[in-house]
This record gives sequence, C-alpha cells and structure tokens, in this order.
Amino acid sequence: MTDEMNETVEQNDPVEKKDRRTDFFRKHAALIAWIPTAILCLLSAVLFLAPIGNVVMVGGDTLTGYGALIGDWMEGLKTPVMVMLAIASVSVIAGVLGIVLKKYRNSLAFDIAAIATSFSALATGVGQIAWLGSMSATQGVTYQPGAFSILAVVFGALFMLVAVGETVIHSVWIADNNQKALWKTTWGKWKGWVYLLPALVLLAIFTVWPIINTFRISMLEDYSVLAAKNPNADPFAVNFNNFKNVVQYSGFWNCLLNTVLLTVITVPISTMLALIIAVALNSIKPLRRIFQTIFFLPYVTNTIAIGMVFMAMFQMIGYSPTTEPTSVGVINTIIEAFGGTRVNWVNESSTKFANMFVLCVYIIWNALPFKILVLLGGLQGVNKQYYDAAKVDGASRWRIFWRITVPMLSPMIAYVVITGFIGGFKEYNSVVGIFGTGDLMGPPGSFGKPLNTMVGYIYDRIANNQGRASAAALILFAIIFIVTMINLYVSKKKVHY
Amino acid sequence: MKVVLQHLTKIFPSRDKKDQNAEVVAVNDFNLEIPDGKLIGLLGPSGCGKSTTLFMISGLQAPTSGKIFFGDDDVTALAPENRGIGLVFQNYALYPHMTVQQNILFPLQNLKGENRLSKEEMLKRATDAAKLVKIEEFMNRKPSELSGGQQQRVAIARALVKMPRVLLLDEPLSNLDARLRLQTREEIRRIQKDTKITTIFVTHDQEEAMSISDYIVVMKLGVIMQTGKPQRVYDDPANLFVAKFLGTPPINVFTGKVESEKLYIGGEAVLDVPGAEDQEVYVGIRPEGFILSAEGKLTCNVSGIDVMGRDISVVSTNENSLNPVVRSIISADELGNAAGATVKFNLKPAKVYLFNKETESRVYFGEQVALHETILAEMEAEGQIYTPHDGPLPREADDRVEADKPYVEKKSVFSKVKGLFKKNAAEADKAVEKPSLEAENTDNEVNE
Repeated sequence: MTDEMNETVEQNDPVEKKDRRTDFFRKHAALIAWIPTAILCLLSAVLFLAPIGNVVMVGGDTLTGYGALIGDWMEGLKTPVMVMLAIASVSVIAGVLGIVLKKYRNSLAFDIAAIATSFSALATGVGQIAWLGSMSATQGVTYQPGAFSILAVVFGALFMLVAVGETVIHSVWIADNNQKALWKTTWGKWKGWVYLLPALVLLAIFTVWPIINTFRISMLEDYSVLAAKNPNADPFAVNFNNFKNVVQYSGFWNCLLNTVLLTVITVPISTMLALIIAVALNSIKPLRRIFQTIFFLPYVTNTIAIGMVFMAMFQMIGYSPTTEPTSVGVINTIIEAFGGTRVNWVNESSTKFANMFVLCVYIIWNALPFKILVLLGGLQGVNKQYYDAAKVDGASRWRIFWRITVPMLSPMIAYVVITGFIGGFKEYNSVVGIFGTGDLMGPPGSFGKPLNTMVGYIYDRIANNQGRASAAALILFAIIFIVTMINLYVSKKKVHY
Repeated sequence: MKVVLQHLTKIFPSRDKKDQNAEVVAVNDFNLEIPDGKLIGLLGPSGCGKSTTLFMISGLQAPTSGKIFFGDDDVTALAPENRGIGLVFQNYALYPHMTVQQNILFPLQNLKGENRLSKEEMLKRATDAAKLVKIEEFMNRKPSELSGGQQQRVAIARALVKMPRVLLLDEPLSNLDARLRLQTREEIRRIQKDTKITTIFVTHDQEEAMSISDYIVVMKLGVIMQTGKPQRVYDDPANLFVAKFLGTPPINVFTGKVESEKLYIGGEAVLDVPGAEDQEVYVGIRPEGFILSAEGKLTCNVSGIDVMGRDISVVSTNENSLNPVVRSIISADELGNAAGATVKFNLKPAKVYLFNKETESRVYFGEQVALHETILAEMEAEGQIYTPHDGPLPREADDRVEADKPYVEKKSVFSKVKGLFKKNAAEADKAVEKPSLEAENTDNEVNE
C-alpha cells in the first residue's frame, strides 16, 4: 500500500515531471534532427537519378543524352557516392540502434549519428550540385539542380545545425546547473520555431515560392520555360501585356461566361437541395444510415468516371444530324416513355443550353455529398432543446425550419456556399468527364472549345505560354477573391454567433 | 388552473434487445392533484422521474399510460403548443441567434388564426413580460451577452409571455451560483405570486423546494413518497426516505426496537413511546432533537464540536447509528456539560421518528398521532388530494443493497499491471475499498 502511495506522489511531483519533460525534448530534438535527414539523405543518395531526370525534362534532352550523362556521372562520382552511401548507412544503423537500445538514446553516440546523417545529406546535395555545375561548364548547357539536391542541402544544413547544437549543449553547456536553467528558457522560447522549421521550409518551397513566381511570370510578356532556358534568347519584356492579351482573346470571355454560369446556377441549387436532404435525413431514424451512404457515394467515386456514366445516360449512340441513333441513353428513354420527344443533350449539333443543363445536373449531383455531410454534421450538433422549446412555443415545422434550423446552421451554410463558389470557379473536371478529352471541350463536331472553363483556359496556356497562363490564373484568383470577400461580408451580417 | 395527474406512468423501453427486462420505469402510477395558483416543488434525488413527470405534463414526452387534466380538459393527447404551458428548461434553451426581444416575441409570433396579435400588441405583451422579470433594459442584447441569472429571467419571460395556464420549470436554479440562486428563487416566488399561474418546478435541492413551494412532492424511483406543505412534510415524514431526504444537517438514523411502549437503542431505553407496538425499528432523530443532560439515556462518543455561532454541533459516534457520525445541534449555553469523551442525550419526542424496519413506513406514537391526523385533515380541506401509491413504496433498504456492495475504486490498467509485480498487491486492493456507509450518505450531503 505504502509503495503505491509513494509512487503516486513521485508521479505528481512537479520537479520530477519537469525533468522527465526535458528528457523527452532531448529525445525529441535528436529524433527530429535524425529522421527527416536520414530519409532525405537516403533518397538523395539512392535516387541520384532525380537531378538528371530534372535536367532531361528541363533541357529537353533525348534518351541518348540521358544514357550518356549517367555513364559520365558514374565514372566521375563513383567513389564519393559510395562514401556518402556508406556514411548514410552507418549513421542510419547507429540511429536505429540508438532508438532500439533505449540506453543509448540520450548518449553522445546518438547525437553523433544525427550529425553524421545530416552531414551526409548535406554532402550528397552539395556534391550533386557541384557535379551539375561542372557538367554545365564542360557541355556548355546550363543544368538546373533537381529538387532533391536542393532539399538535401537545405535540410542537411538545417539539421546539422540542430544536431551539432544539441550535442554541444548536451555534452558541454548543460552540465552546469545555472546554464541549464538559462538553456531551458532559451530553448523554451525558440523550440516552437525550431519544430516548425521543416514545415515552414516545405511550405516556402512548394507554396509560397510558386505563388510569388506566378506573379513574376505574369509580368513577363509571353514567358515560356523553354525560352527561359535558352541562354541565347532575348530577355522577356516586363509589362502587363499578358493580361491584355488574355482579356482580348475572345475564347477567354467564353470560358469566363461558362464558369460564372456554372457557378451561379449550381451553388445555390446544390446548397438548397443539400439542406433539404440533410434536414430530411436528420428527421428519419430507420434507413438513415443506408440513405446517408447512398448520398455519400458520389464523394468517393472518381469524378471523371461519374462524368462518363452521365454521358452514357444522356448520350445517343450512333447519332449524327443525318442518321438516326441505334440506341438512346436512359434519360431520353424515360422522356420517350412519358410521351415526350427525345432531346439531343450531348451529341453532335446539340444546343449549348442542353449541354449546360447536363453539366449543371452533373455538378449539382457531384457537389451534394460533401454539402450534405457538412450540413448533417451541423444539424446533429444543434441542441435538441431548441426544438423542444420551439415546439412548446407553438412554432410550426416551417417556422422551426426558417427561424431555428437555418440560423443555427448558418455557419455551415456559409461554409458550403463559400467553398462551393471557390470550387465552382475552378470547375474543369466535369466538362472533361462528360465531353471527353480536353481537346474537344464541347459536343462532337464542335470547334473552339465552346464549353471550356477558366481552369481549362489556364491549362491550355500552360503548355505554350506560361506568361498568359499566369495572368489568367491571377484573374481567376482575383475573381474568386472578390466573390469570397462578398460572401464573407454577407455571412458576417447573416451568420449568427 | 388545477392540474390533475391520474395513474401517470412512463416506461422507457429496454435498449438492450436481448434483455427485455431492462426497461426503465421512470414514473410509476403517479396520482396527484395540484390546486389552482399554487407553486409546487417536485423534489427527489436524480433519476427519480421528476423531470420525466414535468416533460409529460408539458407534452414533450408521451405517457405510457395514465391521464393528465388541466382543469377539466383532458390534455393527455394534446401537442405541447396546444396545452397552454410555459416551459423553462434547465439550461434555458434561449435561441442564441435572436435578441432578448425576439426570444420573448417568438411564442407570440407563432399564434395563429383568431389568437393572432397585432405587432403593437405583441410588443406590449413582450415589454410587460420583460418588466415582470426586470430585464426590459436588455431587450436588444443576445443571450450570450447576458449573465446566467439574466438568461434565466429571459427564459421565464418567454414562458410567461403567452400567458400560459401552467408554468413548468425544470431545475431552474441549478445553473446559477449560490448567491444568485437565493435571489432568483425569491424572484420566481414573486413572479408566481404576481401572476397566480399554477407553477410546477423540479429540483433535487430540498432547501430550494422547501423555501419557496406551497407544496412539495417528494419522489423516489418514480413513486410519490409524500406530498404536503414543506414544513409539514419536514415535521411529519411518512417514511424513512423522506425523513432522510429533508433537513440540513441530515437526520440521524439508529437501529432500535420498541418493547412495551419503550424505545430501546442498543439495550438502553431512551424514550417512552406510548401507543407504538413492539417491533424492530429505525429511529430517526433530527439534529435539533437532542437535549444534553447528565442523566441522558443515549450515550455517544464525542469526536468533535463544530461551533456555528449561536448553535453548536456536537459530532459524535454511536455503534447503533447508521450514519458514520451523529450530529446534534444544541444551543451554546448547554455546551459546558459536554466537555468529555462521552456525551449523554435525552430526546425530544416530537423530533424522534420511528420507522418499521421492514416497510420503512412511519410508526406514530404519543402526540405524533394527533399531529398526523390534523395534517391529514388540513390537506383535505385545502383540496390536495393524492392517492397513495398502490403497492409497497420503494424502501431505503432497496438502495442499500446496492450501496452495501464493497466499493472498489476503478483502477487504471497501468496500476493493475503494476499490481502484478507487487507482493502486497492484495493488501493494496483492500486499502482502496471504501466503507459502504459513506457511499450511502452522499445523496444528502450533496445538498448541504
């Protein structure tokens, strides 16, 4: 009995707890330094082909050149690569051992393993970049280092810093009690940033830089990567001509109109339908889960596949303006069964109205599951007592819906509307799904991509004129930004609590 | 509006499909007649069915059997909105997206047909209701901008604005702090007196119920244990449960027996009980029922003395007491005699209640017989009629079976694993078991 009590006391002792926490951080810092660097080091060492792959892609070299490059590379760098791989393997083994054998976890050996790993990552990256530099010099073409090399250098350096710092602090500085306290406060102040650093670096590389780059490229007239790589080409003029060209192009306005129409029609309808379905689902008990599953199915199904099924439903097989179809889709079968005349939805020489109708049906159906899910979640979070109170207060079902349910759900409704608008402006998959390949973007036999959208336009431009693609992307961004601001402004007035 | 509940029963079906016997009888054959314009407190420990009764009166829950009358109208099958009730929820259920004014207006805006009011009338009624509960200055605030007490008053105003025939309050004070609770309960009393609406409120706090109710209804396991004026129920408990449930500090219970009109506790004849038949009894003695006396018959071992200003509480132990300690309240002047290891008491006959050990129902003796009859006559004259529950009342002992099981603290998996390596694990297990009597007493102590 007494033993147990003593132990409980020990566990609750704040001093003891703090020490344990410090231990935990020591472990943590080492782990953080070790794991990503080890992975990156291995990746950059084993995937040594990646930078060359990059060169091939960017430089447009042929497979023959590729083979020649590998041959050169293997000859020139056999020894250093083997050394690096050896260091990496040893440090990985040491690190794994350090983790497996608990008693070495806090030991200097582990710190050294972390340093070794970071170093080999750093060395691999630097080695590859240096080699690319020498290749550029000898072959007279500028080769860009690959992403793996850059990452290896960045992370290698970063974690080397952490690992060395850690080791020094552990073995030298922290021995003194006064220093220990100082270290604790300093570390406490900065540890958040240190832990965030890997994520920040990744974000900077893959999110922040591309955004900045888009702005830059949009200002460079008719920028293209190929021309940018050509040292003999003229530098790009800095002006707003990309924007001007995009706006002056007639196809652009068609794309913009299609996008706006699809968004403005589908978002309100799908939101209302989703709200009705969610409320209905919430009010039934038997079969609710089955219905929930059915309504959720589109969410887990590939959009292109759904689009093809929709196309099959609306299509007429073997139809052309001069020939009768051999068979018609299920929609037209139903229309004919009710005595109507079949409609040319998606086939050759179908009207734009019919095409847009099919697209809207498809997009609404596709957008429902997510909205139902969010709204149903919101509904289930509403305290049942409000409904009891409203019942006692004599409110009709209709009034309960408008005065209680909708206001209570307003944050969720605002959320699905805002995300719906953003998603709507980025619509592209649906057109590809129903009208086939990205080259047609309209019913068979049409020209000039009559159903193309903004994203489709950007996608088209990316292949040959990244400057205009960037400009169009920024225009789309501005539209989405303004619409979202309006949404937020409206929801501020209408969304409760 | 008179409210009559006839054979009201609510059974919640078993959740476990395999075990059909697991159904819960929340309210069991509940018969009660509530006179017009009175404030009634439904009182009982948690799970006694008091809230279920309230929700059945409101119409939010349908009774399994039985009938509910408002006046002469049978409202059993009516929907809540057609019953003319106002309901205040435990956590108020104010609509968070509406202002105070919109909250109060909401029931009025729902009126249909000939009852429909003009906008001016609605506003006037809302303002009147707000004035009644003194929240007229907060009309444009949202509920989240109000304190708990203010929200509570808004909820009452919302319930009152449509001029209900019956006002129902579900634990109206449980979300307020102690000070606000005192204030608000007086407020509820005042509003009820001003409006003269028949009001039923549910509480587990006996002090709250006693202080403002015209009548209290003490419930246990879905059954009415006793009804009556609070003071009368306190002075004349019908059974051991009611005696133990009412009163702070709680009543002291001893085991004893009656032999030839004398009450014996632990072999000592402590009191003459003329008119009581020979039987084994539980003896309930109110803390104020002890008289310190050198010739006292009841001897207890003193374990402490609490000075509470004017009064003094002598905490002692007695082997025949069911409570871990015997608490007696005596005036400060008498204390001089009590300095010692033991203390001797005489008992005040009016504060000593005997309960048959089997049925736990009251055994009246001496002057108590006359008092009981007076009270019954008084109740009948006031028109509070309640038919006693058909069949035996739930006994305290039924609970005790549960409570007597050794209380073993739930231990984490970690400590269990650790226990495996302990030589004295068995000893440690024993140490965490708690005496059953403490567990039994918690219900009353919560209310203190």
